[in-house]
This record gives sequence, C-alpha cells and structure tokens, in this order.
Amino acid sequence: MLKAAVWLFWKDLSLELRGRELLLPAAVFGLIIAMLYGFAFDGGQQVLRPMFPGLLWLGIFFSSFLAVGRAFGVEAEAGQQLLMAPIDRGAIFLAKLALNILLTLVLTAVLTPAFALLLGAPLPHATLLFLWTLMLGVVGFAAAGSAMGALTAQTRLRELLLPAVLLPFTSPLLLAAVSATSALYGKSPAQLGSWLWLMAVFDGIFILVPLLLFEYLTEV
Amino acid sequence: MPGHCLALFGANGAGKTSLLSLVALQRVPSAGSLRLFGGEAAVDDLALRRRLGYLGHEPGVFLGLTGYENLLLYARLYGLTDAKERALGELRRVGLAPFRHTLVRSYSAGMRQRLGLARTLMHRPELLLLDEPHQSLDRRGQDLLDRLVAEHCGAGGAALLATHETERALGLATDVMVLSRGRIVYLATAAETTRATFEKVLSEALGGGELC
Repeated sequence: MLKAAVWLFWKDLSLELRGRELLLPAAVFGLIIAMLYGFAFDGGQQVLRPMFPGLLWLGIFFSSFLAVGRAFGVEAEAGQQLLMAPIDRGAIFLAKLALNILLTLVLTAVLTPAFALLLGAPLPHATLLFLWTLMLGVVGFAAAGSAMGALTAQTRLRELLLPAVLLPFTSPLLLAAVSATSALYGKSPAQLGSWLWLMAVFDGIFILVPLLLFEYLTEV
Repeated sequence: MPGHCLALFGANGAGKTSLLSLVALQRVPSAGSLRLFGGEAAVDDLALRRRLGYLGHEPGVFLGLTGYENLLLYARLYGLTDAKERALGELRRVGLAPFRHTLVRSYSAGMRQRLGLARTLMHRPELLLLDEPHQSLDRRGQDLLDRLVAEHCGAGGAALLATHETERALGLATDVMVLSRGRIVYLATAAETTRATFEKVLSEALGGGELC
C-alpha cells in the first residue's frame, strides 16, 4: 500500500507543482484575511494581539479549505479509473493526506509570521511547543479534509458540501488548537497538555478510521 | 469467454453503462450477485481488478501529467516490472509516442481517448470493458481501436463493448446482445445474427427511439 501511496503522492505533487492551483490561491486568500482582520477591528494592534490565536487558526482553517477542498478535483477529472487499479484504496487516502499535510504546512508557514506581523503579536517563547501545536492542528485538519473530500468528491455540490461537513467536524480541533495556542501565551497554561492530547486523539481518529474505511467511502 | 467480443446495444437508459460498471467492479449489485471468470466477484478483489481493463466515458487520465507520465503511473500502480518500457511501448502502439512529453491538457479529445485506450490495454487485461470507446476518435483512431480490440480477442482475451457504431461493432463482435430496461432481450452469436433479425430486435428494444 505504501508503494502505491508514494506513486500517487508523486502524481499529486507533480500536478500541484505544475499547476499551483491549490496553494497559491489559498495563500493569497489567507494573507487577505490577515489584512482584513487588521482593517476590521478598530483599536489597532492592542486590540488584535490577545485575539491572535483565534484569528491565526481561523485564517489557517479558512485558507486551507480552498486547498484541501479541491485536492480531490483531479480524481473527479480522471473519472473512476484510479479506483479500478489493483491497489488498496487506502493508498489513495494516504497520498491525499500527505499532499494535504504538505499544503497546509506550507500555508501555515506563510500565514503564521504574516499574521504575527500584521496583528502585532510576537510568537510564543516556547517555540517547540508552538511548532508542535501547529503540527497537530495541521495534521488533524488535513486528515479530516482528506476524509471528507473523498466523501464529497463524487457529489454534484462538492464545493458547497465540503465546508458544510468539514467545519462542524473540525470545530473540536479548532477549539483545541486555539486554546492550546492561548495557553502558550499564558492563558490557562496548565491546560496546555490536555488540549494537545485532544488534538492528538483527533488526529489519530481522522487518520486511522478513514484509512480503514476508505474502500467503502469510495464505493459508488 | 476467451477470444469472444460481445457487442452491447440498447437505448438510452437500457443499462449498458450500469452493466459495464458492475462488471468493472465499480458498483455493488443492488440485487443478485456477480460472477466473473467462473467465481463470485467482490469489488475489493485486487487480483480480479488486475484481470480487467475498463475504458469508460472518460479516458481516465490526468490532464496535468504528460502522456508518458500517465501511463508510467498506471504501470506502477498495476505493479508492472517493466513499467517504463511498457508505457513507451503502449504510446507507440496508439501513435502517441511523438507527444509523450506533452501535457495531456494540450491533447485533443481523440488523443486523450487513444491514451485512455493505451492505459486500458497496458497491463494486458483478460477482459476488456469498453463503454462507447469510438466516441471522440476520428476514422483512423476508430480503425486503430478496432484493430487493437481484434488483436486482444485474437490473442485469447475477451471484450465487452457498448458502442454507437453499429456497423463497426457488428464487424468486430463474435456475439451480440441487446438490452432493454435492464433486461437481455437478444443474445446470439454474430454468425447466427442476420441483419434483418438484428434490426428487428433492436428496433423493438428502442421502441422506435434512437440507438445509443
């Protein structure tokens, strides 16, 4: 399964590197969100700084929607042929998961310093823990996005349906990610461990369950 | 059956595509069971999938990859040991070798269909499933398709072919089937099917409608 996943990831990466259809619009959208936050909240950086964790994660989630949501578009374009290949269909999920993690990581790497700069919030001192929080959030969102993307890939209202399904499912992850990031800024720091655990469990569920059920998720 | 080519006819909605996608293991039968190669067929049977080659309404290729990359990807997914040689060989076979490094996005519809055909044949399936494969192809492309299907059946493979091209299909097929509302209304060998019989059955199946 891993070998097939590697070939499929190579295919997805080649398509993205050539077309830049997923990452570029999502990154631009994220930067625009950051600027709009700056305009929308009166009171300047003094007001925005305490809201940095929430605004950052909303920015990452919303912009990642664009990338993750369209990641299964290439499969829809090629029809059902990939599903006929004699490979474990979990490989398709793994490849898409790897692509979505990569895209969301790159988006996060671009948006985090941009949000910090525009909202006037210094990054937390506990750099490693902050990176770990970002990583757990990114993996969880990419995993849920890959699973829901597969579910909605063949539907006619895919573009509308995916956010409607993905947002409620990822809201516990969003809550945990914002709370963990706030804890790194000194708000209820004792609860940091619990939030990180919650994120890790969320990630585990949304990687393992779709991996086991992907055969059924893709059945027409 | 090895060496047989079954041509499938019927009106719109008669069930040709449904039948092909069922045999292609893309759907689970809502009732009854599916038997292939003498055994019960399951959609998650990887060994069975390897024995099938399906060309549906879409050529099943990725537009952002080159023709060669598309075939190489499928060759690797099918576990072909000589993936590079096989991909190149199939491109030559369908006349696309000069365009192997061109993105499929730049291909014409006919070239994409040829590439789809190469993808379908590359792993040497035992049973070819072709759903209106002549569409988008020019006359030369259609001749090529007929030749490749005939070669496949001549070499002991089998084919199930649904097509608009009645004349071509009848020239190619060893057996003829007509479907109407999901049921077989005619099944005979091509040799015992006279033109008059076929046209009568087809006309009844179509109910005066249009063949597709």
